[in-house]
Amino acid sequence: MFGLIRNNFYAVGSSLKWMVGSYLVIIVLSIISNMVFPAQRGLLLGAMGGIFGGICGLSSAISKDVKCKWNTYEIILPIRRSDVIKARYITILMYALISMFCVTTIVGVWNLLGSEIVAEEIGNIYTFGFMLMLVVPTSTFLLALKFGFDKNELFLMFTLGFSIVLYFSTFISGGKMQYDKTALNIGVCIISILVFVAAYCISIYVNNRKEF
Amino acid sequence: MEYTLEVNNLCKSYKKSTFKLDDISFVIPKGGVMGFVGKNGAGKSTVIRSILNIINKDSGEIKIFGKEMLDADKKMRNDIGVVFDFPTFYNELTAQQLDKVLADIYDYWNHDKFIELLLKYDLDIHKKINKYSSGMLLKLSLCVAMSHGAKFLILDEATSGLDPVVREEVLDAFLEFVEDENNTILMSSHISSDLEKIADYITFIDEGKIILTENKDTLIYEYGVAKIKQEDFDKLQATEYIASRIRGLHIEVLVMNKYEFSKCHPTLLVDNAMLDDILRLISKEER
Repeated sequence: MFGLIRNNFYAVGSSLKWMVGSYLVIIVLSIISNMVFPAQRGLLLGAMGGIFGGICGLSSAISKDVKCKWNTYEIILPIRRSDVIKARYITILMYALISMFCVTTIVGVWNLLGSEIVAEEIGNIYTFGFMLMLVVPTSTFLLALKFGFDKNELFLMFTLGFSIVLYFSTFISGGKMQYDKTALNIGVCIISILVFVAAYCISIYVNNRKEF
Repeated sequence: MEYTLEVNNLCKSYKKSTFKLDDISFVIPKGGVMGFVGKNGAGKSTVIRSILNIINKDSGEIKIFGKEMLDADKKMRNDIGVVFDFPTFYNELTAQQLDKVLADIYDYWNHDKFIELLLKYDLDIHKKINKYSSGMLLKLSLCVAMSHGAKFLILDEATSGLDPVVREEVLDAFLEFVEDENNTILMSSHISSDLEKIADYITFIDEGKIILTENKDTLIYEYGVAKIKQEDFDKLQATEYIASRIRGLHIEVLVMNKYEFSKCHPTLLVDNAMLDDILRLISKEER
């Protein structure tokens, strides 16, 4: 399975480079924007931009596999079908970790610059990013696996919209019920992990029965 | 006799298509080369995909090395090399990166052999796969299939995108591969001359059915095609020929034993049957 992860990383390699590059640009832009906007606002915009870019890059990299018919070839390799899915999800997790590392770097840079950073805002960014990174690529992949990778972009938009609506509706309804924001953030993280696990299990089920 | 591949009563149909595989049965003895011949859409690739578990069969039995291949049979997959008629590798990779990927996947990946084959076929190891031509992609697939110690090669139109010079080299490589009596090849191809060169057995498939499976030498040395006039054709009994086809003013007749046919009908001229002639004559459309 290590070979599959290696292949996946070669596959997402260029989008990963773009993501890290865009984070570097974001750092520079957010430093400039700090002169105009309050610090955490610039950070928020920058981090969000990076996360969105990363997710789009990852999702399009996943569909490239199918265009190359590597997913057909995987079936004849000496690996189990479930290993193919496992490798995909491990790649998504590693991608999410790298993305989180980039956001942390941005936070660190801001901290070094002596900008005012509100812990609650940072918590929100991490939660939102964590949710997007776990929910969007996995759900997009699952839908594409089941209904066809030619509709990948459509599924990406759908899951992205669904995740944003889910996130903000949780906070709006939670706020009305006067829940603590930390508790809501933890709730969102738990939901994201549950969606990730469910998408993984369903993907294995779908892939085991899929004809290529 | 020990068989590398046994396909028994294989059936496969699709919900949105009228095409189906209908009771496909054939075997390949260990050490043999089976040529799989048929028109476009005859079902060759569907059979190969069923053998490889890429698609799920409706019924029937497929045994490779004497047993059904399950998802967990990693060992068996190590022993099977496959070349499709389309590129299958992630095209952002270089051959060098592919080498590393496959070395982590196959138990007996032979790096030296892979590099040797890449050099033999003039493939740039540092070039991205998306910069390869279709012929180069096929050559790359062949290099991979022959670099992990496979004992059974499944080739789906593997030589179709190659120029005659490289095709000759590749066919020689296949012949070298089957010099080891433990190695077997299943090769589907439109190019009958390739099959005439290397195949031991030929299986004809048409509209999802096996029409004929025969030893290649029997086909070439015993089968024959007679071009006869209508009045001569009318005198023939149905058991004397396998298939017939009107061609201009003549009727082409495929016979199973040209010597016996000539004995019975000394005035009729019987030519050797080429694989293309046989395919043309036994295809349902042409009958």
